[in-house]
Amino acid sequence: MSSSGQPKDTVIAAELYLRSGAAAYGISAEQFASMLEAIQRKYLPEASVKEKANFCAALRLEELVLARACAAGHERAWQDFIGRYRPKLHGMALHITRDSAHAADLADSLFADLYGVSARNGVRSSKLVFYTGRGSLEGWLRTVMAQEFVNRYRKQRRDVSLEEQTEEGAQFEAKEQEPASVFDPRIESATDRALAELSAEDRYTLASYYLDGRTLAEIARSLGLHESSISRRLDRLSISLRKRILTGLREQGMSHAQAAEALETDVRDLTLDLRARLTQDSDPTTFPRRKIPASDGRSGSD
Amino acid sequence: MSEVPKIVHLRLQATTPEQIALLHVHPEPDVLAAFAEGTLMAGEREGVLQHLALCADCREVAMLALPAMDVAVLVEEEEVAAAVSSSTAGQETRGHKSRFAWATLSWAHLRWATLAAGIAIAVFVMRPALEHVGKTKAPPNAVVGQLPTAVKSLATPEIASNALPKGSEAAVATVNKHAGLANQVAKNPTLLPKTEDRALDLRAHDAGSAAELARSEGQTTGETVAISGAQQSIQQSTQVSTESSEISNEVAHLQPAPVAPLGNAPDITKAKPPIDETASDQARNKARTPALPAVAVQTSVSPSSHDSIGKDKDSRDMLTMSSGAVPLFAKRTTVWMIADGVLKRSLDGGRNWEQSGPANRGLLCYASSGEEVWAGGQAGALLHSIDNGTSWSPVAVAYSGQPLTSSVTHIDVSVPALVVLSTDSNETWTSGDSGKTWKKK
Repeated sequence: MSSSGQPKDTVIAAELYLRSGAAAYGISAEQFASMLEAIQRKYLPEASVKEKANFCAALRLEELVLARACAAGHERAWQDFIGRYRPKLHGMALHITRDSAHAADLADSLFADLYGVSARNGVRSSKLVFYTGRGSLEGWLRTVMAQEFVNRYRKQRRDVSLEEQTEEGAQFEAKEQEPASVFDPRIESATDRALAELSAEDRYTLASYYLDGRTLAEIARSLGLHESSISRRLDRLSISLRKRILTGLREQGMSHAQAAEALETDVRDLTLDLRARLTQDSDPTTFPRRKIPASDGRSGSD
Repeated sequence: MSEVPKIVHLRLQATTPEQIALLHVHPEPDVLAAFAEGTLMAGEREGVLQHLALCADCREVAMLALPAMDVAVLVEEEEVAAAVSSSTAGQETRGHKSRFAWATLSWAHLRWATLAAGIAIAVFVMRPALEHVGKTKAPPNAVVGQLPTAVKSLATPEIASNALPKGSEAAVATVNKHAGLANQVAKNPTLLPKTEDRALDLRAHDAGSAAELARSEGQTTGETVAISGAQQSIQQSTQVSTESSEISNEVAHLQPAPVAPLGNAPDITKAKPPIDETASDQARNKARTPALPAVAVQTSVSPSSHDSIGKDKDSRDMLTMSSGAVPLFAKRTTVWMIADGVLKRSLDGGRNWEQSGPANRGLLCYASSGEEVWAGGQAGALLHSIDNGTSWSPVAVAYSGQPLTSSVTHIDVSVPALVVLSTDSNETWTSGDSGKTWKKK
């Protein structure tokens, strides 16, 4: 069965096959084994037998065989899938879109993709074939739906017509120019270095909180932590980042006072209203009283 | 919360040349789902986090893909957020508005007020039982004077004079006096001894943790009290010391059903036996240590029985009280979820899960309000529990002779006594009498 051909693999594969219930969906042991092998090769190309066995044992095998059987068009698998997941799709879509009309559209669209309505070269193509059992099937469905939603929303923003934008009052402004003379590249490099020293989880936390505007609760849930842990982490990060940036600036030749001032008075922290400063009311006396003769010979009086 | 310099905002969005390659390899839905569920291997998780730190789109997908939470957990998180923000020098937690006005109070106030309210409710429920207690014998006057000083720190409802047997008017008066004091305390928590404010972690909801926290908060020790109608034990009492929680323990111990069985502890919940008989028997059969007052009617539960009793929160709260610690609050932290058509509950904030209700009903949705839980599923399946999922009753949903046959996909119980069902065939069924009769729209 397995490529290594060792008896232990065979026993493990047989156990997993039984556990998965694949036989009920018309998936043979050989098909099941090759399915697992493909997943192993994708995620664990170079792993020991034990690691592969542990990896496979941790997969959601029942859901995997259900998804693959559905992708293959097995009727009973579809009945089970529809019974378990079809009602949830709308709820998931509603949670993502917060709008019942869009939710229905999103759910139906995903279901069509899962069913494989669009055929390629005469062969039905179902998205379920891409499910590999790493997470739950329900989680996978939610993620696929979220991806579809983000893609649609992004596409919609790009495709809004100029006419619609004008009607909504959008004014097309010239691209803002970066102020050139007061920019200190040392701050940028010190900040980049400070950020590079952080762990990926810390950077993710900072980006989620400060760039995406996520709440502490949302960030905590995504990381499987408690909200108070995220709060403490952000406090710690803000203090340590400031220190590291100051240290970096001092290493680049600034004194402590200069570094602190540079960090606090970076031009991007200033809120200049350039438009207000550049716009000025016209002075009526600017225009001459004397009327200038028109080009067609008509003349005005003084 | 401290802010980071604006330059950090800008540089978080920028991508260095080394990061470009990482940015363009987006994790697949499988991997993102496994990340959200915490099932990725360590190295993989690190790689996903590195990408998510750079890619706003994938961060948005990851957030959107998180499952909806149970309302009870959401409310609880908001309360923790309020407590955290109040303890961090006035900085507000972003995006959260407290739904309850009392969440702006300090955590210590909430803790005492909740304890007081829980004890008041327990005593109120026990009033009918108390009426039967000690009908034959009156408590000795010696006990009256020795009623616990720690009662002063408890909020107990005043006991009606007819709730205790004849001859115990003095006891009634004393308890009422203390109850009055306790009620004052409940209204004005500043009267209580100051305890150190502490923002509680959700894990402290566990009975065991609550017990430890309570002890560390400096509760008085070594005193137990009984206001139960265990007449023989009252007669034999010679010494009273009080652990404030013992009052509620004694009262709760006499509480009739519905309370889940205590495992090793005497089961008083199966039926409603004559209270006087039960209380007397229990009083006689309880083991008392010499240091404890003879009036004490303690549950003889060993620490190991916490596990054997299982995950019933009521049981664990009672155990906590009997062990001498004060639960910091009586609030339930039940979390619900549906997996593969089966409703599951966790009584410890999501750490351990157990099946609740039948497994063969193809459940799709649930809603809870206090102890009341509804679960709906395929083919019109509707189940109702009034004891936080310990026992369930099927509910027949029909209108004008026509039963509900489509799948219940959403249940709304936000309005008391009103149940609203939504189905996958876009029907709406409502019941204004907690499920007895239904109307279909």
